Amino acid sequence: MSVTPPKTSLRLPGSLAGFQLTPPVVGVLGLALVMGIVPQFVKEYWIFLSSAGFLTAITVMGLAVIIGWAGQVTLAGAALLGTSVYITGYLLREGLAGSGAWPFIPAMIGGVVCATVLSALVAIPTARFSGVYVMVLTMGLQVTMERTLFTYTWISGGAGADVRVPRPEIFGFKFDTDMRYFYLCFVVMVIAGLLMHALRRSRHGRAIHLVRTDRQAAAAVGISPWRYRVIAFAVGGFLIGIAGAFTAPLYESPPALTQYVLFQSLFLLAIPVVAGTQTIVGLASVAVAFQILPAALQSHRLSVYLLGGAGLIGGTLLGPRGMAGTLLDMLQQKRDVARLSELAGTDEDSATPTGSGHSGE
Amino acid sequence: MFDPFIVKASLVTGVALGALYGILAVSLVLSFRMSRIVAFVHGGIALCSAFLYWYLTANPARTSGHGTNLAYATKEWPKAPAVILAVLLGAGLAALFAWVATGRMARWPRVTVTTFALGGMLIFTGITQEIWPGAFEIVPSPFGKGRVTLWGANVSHHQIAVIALLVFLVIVLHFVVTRTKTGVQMRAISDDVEAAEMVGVPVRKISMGVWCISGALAGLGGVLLTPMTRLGASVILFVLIRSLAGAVLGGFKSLPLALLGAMLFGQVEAHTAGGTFGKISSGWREVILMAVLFVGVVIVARRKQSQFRLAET
Repeated sequence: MSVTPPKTSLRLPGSLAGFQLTPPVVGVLGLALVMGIVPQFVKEYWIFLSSAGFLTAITVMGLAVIIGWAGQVTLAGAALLGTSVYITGYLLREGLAGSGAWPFIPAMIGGVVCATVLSALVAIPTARFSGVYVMVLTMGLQVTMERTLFTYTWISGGAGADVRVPRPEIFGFKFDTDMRYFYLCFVVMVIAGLLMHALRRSRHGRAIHLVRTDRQAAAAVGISPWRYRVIAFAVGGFLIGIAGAFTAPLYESPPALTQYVLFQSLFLLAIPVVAGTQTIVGLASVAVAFQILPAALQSHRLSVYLLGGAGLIGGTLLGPRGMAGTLLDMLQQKRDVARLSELAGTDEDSATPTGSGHSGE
Repeated sequence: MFDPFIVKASLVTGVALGALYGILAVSLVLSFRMSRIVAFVHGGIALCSAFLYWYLTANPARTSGHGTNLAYATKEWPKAPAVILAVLLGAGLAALFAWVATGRMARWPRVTVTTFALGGMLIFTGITQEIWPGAFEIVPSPFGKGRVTLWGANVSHHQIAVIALLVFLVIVLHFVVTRTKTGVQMRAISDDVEAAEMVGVPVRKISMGVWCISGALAGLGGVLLTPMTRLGASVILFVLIRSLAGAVLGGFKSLPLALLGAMLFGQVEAHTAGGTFGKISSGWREVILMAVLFVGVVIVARRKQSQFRLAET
């Protein structure tokens, strides 16, 4: 019986012998090529928009931890994001309380801590309740933040105020152009994705999943459902906080309050619902597409309400695995069919020479 | 010491505010009792109906952008047929939503269907924003412009009519839910869909009917609440959240309790804004209202949990 080499890999000659071009490797190399070449040929506007898309992807990863892993729906995504944006922006601004601007890393930590604590605080009393009550309370938190913190002009900067939030300088390297900031946002998104991947495979990640799947079984093996739901909310808040901290200097001035209202929370919620929470790459791709699509289709006046609504409805109807999960399932099904027909062919080949005499029946 | 004049005026304002929140609270409770989901879609339905009512009745000379090519060509119809059409639109949109929610999604997890309802709300909001982009209009009341002074508070005929209509609707609906065969069937579906089906309850028919009624109420809510505020997506959403708080305070259980919850929320808001407890900034008012909602949710959710445990034992 002859052994055929796997179709999905390619052996390289010489010093690279042993290194196989498997699909993930091809994917990473392709992405590196695209990230290296494409930005050199597109307008700065699209570079800026893509940076915003990467940060939206990090926000959505945070939501995916809460929605997909813990099975809770939060409607305060925009509130957490806005909190981190405004706190980080406030700390980064020049002339703060006569003490000068903070460096980026401590300012970022300030924003991230606020978002993480706020998210965990909502979870502490509600983690024992059904998802519907969590939705109502997170919606309440969203509206409260909109009407309190975000309206204080000394934090948010106020509409039309001439306030400058500088781009960061990290370890002596200045990210002062849109192109540099684009690469920084991309790297942060990749790190956030890897972090999420590692957490999902860790003991704590598996515990969060178990709590969602079967609370009683989790409790029976000594996993506190309440504790792990709070952890999921805190991790979600942390990731959203990171996105907010990097969003603050993206615009170089405090963004408008309208970007962090309840409708924006619903728009953000639509992304993990559409993409599903099974694949991080799927999440990031849909997030970037959701950020770029309204701008790309500006001439057709594509309403973000319609896009978000269609996303939520389509994503819900697709089921919990979302678009990315459904695509993966279809690919897997195709592969299974191909493998089965291949096996059937092999059986026929091996059966014919020995011929049992039933082949014609 | 409290100023009696301010307290009385705040009480009346609180009742008017409670009525404003109560209309949508009642429709939310009705659909929750049927499908066990929070029908956020009612926010979108209320917005669509309110826009239709405004489009049919408003004087074009009083719309924003009048005199420019951006003005809206509203129709100036009589109010009564416009109200009826707006209510019918509400019922129709709710039927459309219920067709999916009570059909294919009938046995799906509640949180998933609630997320679907959020999508419905966004879609309906998006449609109104596509047709009337940026509209933030004054809506004429179906009950005229008259006003009276009650206990030191200036109250419009519209507010008095809304309170009366709301009380009447709650009494009628409460009677239907608790005293009629349809009401018993509704409760049976709400408790256990499969068991209700097994004993011959026409689940789909009843569910669709209740959703249509709650949608019609949401449509009526949209028509009645916009003359007290302004017509805009953010306004309706704001009222929806307050209504939701009222429904939660009422335990999502009974219509009179939902009305009481909305009234309680209206009172807290009116007294904190009206100066009964001194001057409170708008930010702190929101924090107080959030605290009320928070305490309400914790009490209701804990009570439901203990009931569930009792049922298990």
